[in-house]
Amino acid sequence: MQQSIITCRDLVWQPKKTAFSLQAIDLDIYVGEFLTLLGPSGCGKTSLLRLLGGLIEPASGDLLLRGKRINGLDAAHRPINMVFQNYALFPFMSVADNVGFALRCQGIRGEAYHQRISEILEKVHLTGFEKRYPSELSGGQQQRVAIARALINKPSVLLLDEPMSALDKQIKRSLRRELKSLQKELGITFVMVTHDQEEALSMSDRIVLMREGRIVQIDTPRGMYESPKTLYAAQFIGEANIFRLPVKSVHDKSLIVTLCDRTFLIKKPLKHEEITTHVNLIIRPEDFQAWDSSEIESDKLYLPGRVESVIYKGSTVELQVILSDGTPVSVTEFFDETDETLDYRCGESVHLSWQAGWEVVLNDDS
Amino acid sequence: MNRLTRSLFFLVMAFLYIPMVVVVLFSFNHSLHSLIWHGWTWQWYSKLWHDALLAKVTWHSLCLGFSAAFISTVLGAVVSYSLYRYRFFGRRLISGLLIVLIVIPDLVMAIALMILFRSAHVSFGFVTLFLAHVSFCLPFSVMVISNRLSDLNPQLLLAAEDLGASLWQQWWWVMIPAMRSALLVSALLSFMLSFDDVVISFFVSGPNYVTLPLHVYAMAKLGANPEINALCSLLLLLTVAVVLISQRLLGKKT
Amino acid sequence: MSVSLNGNIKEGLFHWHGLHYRELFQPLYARLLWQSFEFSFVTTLTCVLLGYPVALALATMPKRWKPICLMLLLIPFWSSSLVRIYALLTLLKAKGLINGALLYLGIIKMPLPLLYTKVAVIIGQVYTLLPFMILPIYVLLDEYDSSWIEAAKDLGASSTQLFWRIFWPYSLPAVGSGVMCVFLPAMTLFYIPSLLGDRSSLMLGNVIQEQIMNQDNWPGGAATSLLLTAALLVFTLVYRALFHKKRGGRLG
Repeated sequence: MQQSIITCRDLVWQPKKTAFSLQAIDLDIYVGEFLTLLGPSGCGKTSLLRLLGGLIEPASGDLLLRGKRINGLDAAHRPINMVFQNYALFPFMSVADNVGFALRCQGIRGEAYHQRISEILEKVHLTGFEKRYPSELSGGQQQRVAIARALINKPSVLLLDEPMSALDKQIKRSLRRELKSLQKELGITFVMVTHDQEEALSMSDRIVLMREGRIVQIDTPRGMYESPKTLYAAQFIGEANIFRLPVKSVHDKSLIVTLCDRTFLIKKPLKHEEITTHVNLIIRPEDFQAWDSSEIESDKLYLPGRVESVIYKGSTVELQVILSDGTPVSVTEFFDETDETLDYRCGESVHLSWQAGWEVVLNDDS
Repeated sequence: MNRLTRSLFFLVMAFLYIPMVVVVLFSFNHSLHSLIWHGWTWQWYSKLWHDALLAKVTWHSLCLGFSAAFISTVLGAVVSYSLYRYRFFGRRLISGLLIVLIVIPDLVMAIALMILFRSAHVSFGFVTLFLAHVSFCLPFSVMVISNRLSDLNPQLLLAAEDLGASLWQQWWWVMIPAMRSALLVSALLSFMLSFDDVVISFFVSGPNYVTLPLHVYAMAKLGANPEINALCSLLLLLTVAVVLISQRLLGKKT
Repeated sequence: MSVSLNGNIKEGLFHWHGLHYRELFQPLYARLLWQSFEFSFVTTLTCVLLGYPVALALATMPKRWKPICLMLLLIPFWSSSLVRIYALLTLLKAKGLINGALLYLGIIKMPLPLLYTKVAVIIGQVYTLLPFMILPIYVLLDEYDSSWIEAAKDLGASSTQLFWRIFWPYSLPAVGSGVMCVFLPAMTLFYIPSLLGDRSSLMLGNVIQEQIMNQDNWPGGAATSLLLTAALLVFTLVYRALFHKKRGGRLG
């Protein structure tokens, strides 16, 4: 069991005059981890971050920092600092003045002041940039100044509020890598808010997926992608083909469903009593394989369909296939040096199969 | 279409500038009445310099201009900041009133203020002029400063708060540096508005406190003379300087 | 303004007997009111006709020239209008530059009576208020997207169509606020008629000034300015009804 630094127990936040709220938030944040709060806009992820930072106060529940209750402690007195959207550096201050802002607020001057600034700038590899202004820095350097500014008071947790939301895609990629490695070097707990699932998957140790003011699932990126607990999670993270199928019969370890007039035997991950008349079968596009009729012996175990569109993406090909019952399906095929037949035309008929056991079976979301 | 509008542009500019250029030129003319050029002279300017009455009214206008500019900028900053930062009851009403104060004709405002001062038994002089000038400068100050604030990233204040800045520290270290150029422009424009105002001052000034524009108006009513030419040239020079400086300040992005 | 409605408040200065409002409908007042309206209308129309093309020219000016040309416009905008009216006066007077030039060129034998006429008042008003028409229109036109021109031309619009179908409807709200900035001050800037006009070219602003400063007829002055305020209100309402539905609440 890892040691947790922040613990939320049944936190509730209910702003006046709006229907929106945060309900029953239970969350442990571990020392030194990179945690991401993920969800669409309006899911409450930013509010949760602001609760942690002390910018807003919970209506009930406990917020613990290293086991000590910190409800009601104001933002300035929590050892938690924030990196804002697009960094919010003070444009009229030099790098050193930006970084030393918190020290000046406490009245720290002179030798100690300058020493703390150079220490922290060294940590983020910005020694020698003291006199520059934010407008003279690259995106990566600005990010590091923002982190240095937030770290000057040696907080135990750093909160990041969609730090890269307004940057373009190319810069984002390199900044992600930089942020991740900086976090490893500094060894400080990072809690980041994002609506970008790619960002969450590539940077986090754990992801907290939220929806309408509640936590839906907490898992590692891999766990979140490979075994989503709800249809919502399956759809929000990565692309997913979801088939809602009637259950034909339920056996001890498996259940039988029909799709395109074919019956399939599926391993039963749900408990017996949870199974109702329908189940949802989730298959990721890359778990499908497409064959043409010459490659298969009988079409009994394959889903017949017709290629609707082909998008070439360099290392992959994305197909839109319409199954014989009219369901549209996305299929992603990886290029393989040895496979010469990876060439599809629109209108061509194909047969789809998937790796048995890679499918996920879920009930409808409540 | 382009050529036509562009030549019209220069024609209109000529229409706007020729009278002003003529006034400036003739302020250096040696002759008292004639339009014929009699050679260069500084005599009208030196005459202005020695005019005691003029010195007095100029002093009045400067005092008024500086105090009105200072107070309306300070108030403008406070009002803009409140409109920017807080959502309070009557917020829309205040911005609406400020717009009304901008579009209302000077004359209507002048009469309203005059009646207000009369019924409150305020004696007409510096105080009434000062109050009146602040009230017509304030909407412009708020407009200029609010405009700047609307470009300001609201996260800057949150960041300062998060780093432990008190309300005063947020003001001195974040808000005022962020608004610096807008504050200067607001002060300059307010000074200009106050220094040039005729209509409102006409109604709220007292016999003991005449401003420069009122003096010019009284002189101009008697007809043109080279001394007024010189005075008007100086006023135009002041305007050009203020416009140039404020354009520089507004153009600079910090 | 409420004073004129609300009787004996102070010093018995203000007596409400309905007379002041009846005064407004006397032939003299009616004539002056009509004249002010007429003058302001002509001034406003001239300002639109001159100001619009100028604003358009400024907005479509090459980038290199734009700042300088904008500066050329801003200087008269911020200059004291009294100083500018005085400048116009020196130009228009009997021994002024225009008459001098015409006499010198032998076009006329006697100086033309340019000053102290109705035409002089209108010229003065246009001269003073034109920048207030140009600037709002320019500010809006300056935000136009040059791709519109390309798109419209690509779709086969002629220059005339381009103007009437794109620029004009787009800039209409700004023309509206320009009209507000010109029409009402034109009615009230009393020093223009009093410096450039004669007794026959007085306007509403002069009436108010006269009533208050010389006749000490306060209620009359207040009533007249209330009338002006009512006009302002009607104007604003018409403006809002015309333009505010289409766009968000922006200050044109």
